[in-house]
Amino acid sequence: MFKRYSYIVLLAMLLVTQGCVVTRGTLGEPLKEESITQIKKGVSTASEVVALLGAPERVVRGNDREIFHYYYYDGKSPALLLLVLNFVRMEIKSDNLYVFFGRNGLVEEVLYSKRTPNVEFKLWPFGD
Amino acid sequence: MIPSWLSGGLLVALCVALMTGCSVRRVVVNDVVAPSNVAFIQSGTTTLPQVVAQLGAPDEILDSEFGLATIYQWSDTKASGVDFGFIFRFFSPYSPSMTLAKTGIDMEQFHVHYDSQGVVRMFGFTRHEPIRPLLWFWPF
Repeated sequence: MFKRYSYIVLLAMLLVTQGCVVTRGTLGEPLKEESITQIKKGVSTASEVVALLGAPERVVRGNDREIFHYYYYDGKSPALLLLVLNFVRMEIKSDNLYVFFGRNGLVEEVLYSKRTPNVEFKLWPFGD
Repeated sequence: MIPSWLSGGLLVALCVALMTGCSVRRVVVNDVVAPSNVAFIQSGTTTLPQVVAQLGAPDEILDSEFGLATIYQWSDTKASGVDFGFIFRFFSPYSPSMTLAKTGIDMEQFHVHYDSQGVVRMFGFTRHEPIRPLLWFWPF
């Protein structure tokens, strides 16, 4: 009896989820908040920042300063591929961290924002 | 007089026939920066940390002749298509592909340029595309 119900439940699950595709893609490594909070303006050096976060993804030179740019991208994409109709939606957001170094080699400014926690699996492609 | 179950079935069949071969795709990158989000920025007054506090860290920082330039990027790409050959799958072992599809890639940017002291010098959006409907497969 239990075995029969198991088959029915399995069949129902297969019927309900057929055509469903769930994909997730990331670029880079997530930025650790505890490492970022250890960066101190006017105190930390470039080598200390590298020891905390690793080498930056990009080094930008601007306004006579060296800027380390770290980033992380997270994307979630559910899809419904039915016999007659396909819905696909993908949401991608990024975290960015910029560490500015002054001429004395010490951290001058830290700019950071985290958007990836807001990435959701949204299937419905219409509306917001 | 058509029985209600039959009219309901016909309605479902009509909907299925109308949707046959339709595909709707959408790719959203980052949050939209709307003009209302940047109303607080004043040239000659607002600083880089104040902008970042409101909008978050930019996606890109560039060097310019006068100071830094920050760029916020986002996009809302919509694509849809109809495969008219799909209908053959219901009665033919071979279904030829007869697809009409259209994609609108909207990569938009908001630029803020600063002077050497990190104070906003100028700011603006890239050319803004009109809002397109999600279902627009006619490519001609």
